[in-house]
Amino acid sequence: MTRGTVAFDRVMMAVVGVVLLALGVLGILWWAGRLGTIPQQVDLSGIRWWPQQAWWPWALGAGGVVVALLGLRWLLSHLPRGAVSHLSLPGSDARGRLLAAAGPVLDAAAHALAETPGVRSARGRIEHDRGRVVTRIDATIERSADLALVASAADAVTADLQSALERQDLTSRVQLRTAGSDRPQPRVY
Amino acid sequence: MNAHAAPEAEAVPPAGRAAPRGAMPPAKTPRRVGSIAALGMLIALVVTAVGVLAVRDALVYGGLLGGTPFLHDLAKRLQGLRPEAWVVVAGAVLALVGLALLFRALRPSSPKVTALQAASGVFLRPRDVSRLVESAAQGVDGVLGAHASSTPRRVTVSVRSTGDAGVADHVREVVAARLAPLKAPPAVRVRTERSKR
Repeated sequence: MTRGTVAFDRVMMAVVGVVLLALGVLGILWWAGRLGTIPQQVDLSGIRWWPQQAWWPWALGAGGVVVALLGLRWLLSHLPRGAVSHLSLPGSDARGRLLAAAGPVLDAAAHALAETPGVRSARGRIEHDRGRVVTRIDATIERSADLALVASAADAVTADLQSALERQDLTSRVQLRTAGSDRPQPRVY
Repeated sequence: MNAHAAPEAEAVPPAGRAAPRGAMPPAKTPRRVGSIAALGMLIALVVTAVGVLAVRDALVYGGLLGGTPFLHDLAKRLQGLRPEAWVVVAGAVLALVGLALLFRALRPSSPKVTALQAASGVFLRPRDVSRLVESAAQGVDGVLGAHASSTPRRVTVSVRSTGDAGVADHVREVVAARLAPLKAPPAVRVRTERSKR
């Protein structure tokens, strides 16, 4: 899901909200007889001739197809987007593109983070989030983990990633999860 | 060390720790957009369904499909409708739903996670904060069991204790120390309950 999808969702929610609100208020005013010249009875006879026209099925069908396709397109924009598989590196030019496979690079970074005491496991990937390229590492930490240590390890790992990939537009997200229960630790007597 | 790797002005490292060389700037804080996406999908589904029904009716009107058009039934129900009591009820419900949708659409999403003090973005979910707090509280003398619930702003710890004086204060200190590495440590509330022996 992109920033655009969320923004569009918000706009459409606001539009639907305003329409429902207006319909509700108009309905109540209609009941109260406060709508002035609007008749107190629904009369559709004015548009009864529509379905008899030759253009009616075509217009209805075309409108329906357009609305259904737009709805489907909107619905599908909510599908989760896959991770970025390759990153282009500085040095790409007309003679060729310099690409780094995102998977192994992020795996290495995640592996480095997992070496930190208190970090049980970590996995990494690259994704897009609201218009930025994000190196994302999901790490599971022990309940007894030293948070400051984990944070500085994350800084060191992402700094290494930054210098390895030489891209200045990357941002990082290290998402920690606390393990449900502590793994038995080696005992020191 | 080259000048290239100097940290940017906005990526000031937190006090008390050495600045990592060229740490990656943090990603935007993840926000709660789940309900917006769900409602957006619901509206998109309704829009798609309306389109499909319109195509179906067009085929019926065109004589390519048997049956009566839904629009025909709808028009028959609407024809001659007068404002009755149910119109008020329906109107009130519609207006309230519309208002709720409008508020949700305009309200900025709250952050989904708590950030740690780090130059790169390191985040904990409220559930993870709860687990850290529970473990910390369980290590306090006199505590028999602890349960915590968290939001990004507040942590509530319920502890079962042996009833010693000062357990609550001690738990509060330990939990606050545990959460000190967070960028904005949440307020800590401790509830104690004496264990029945």
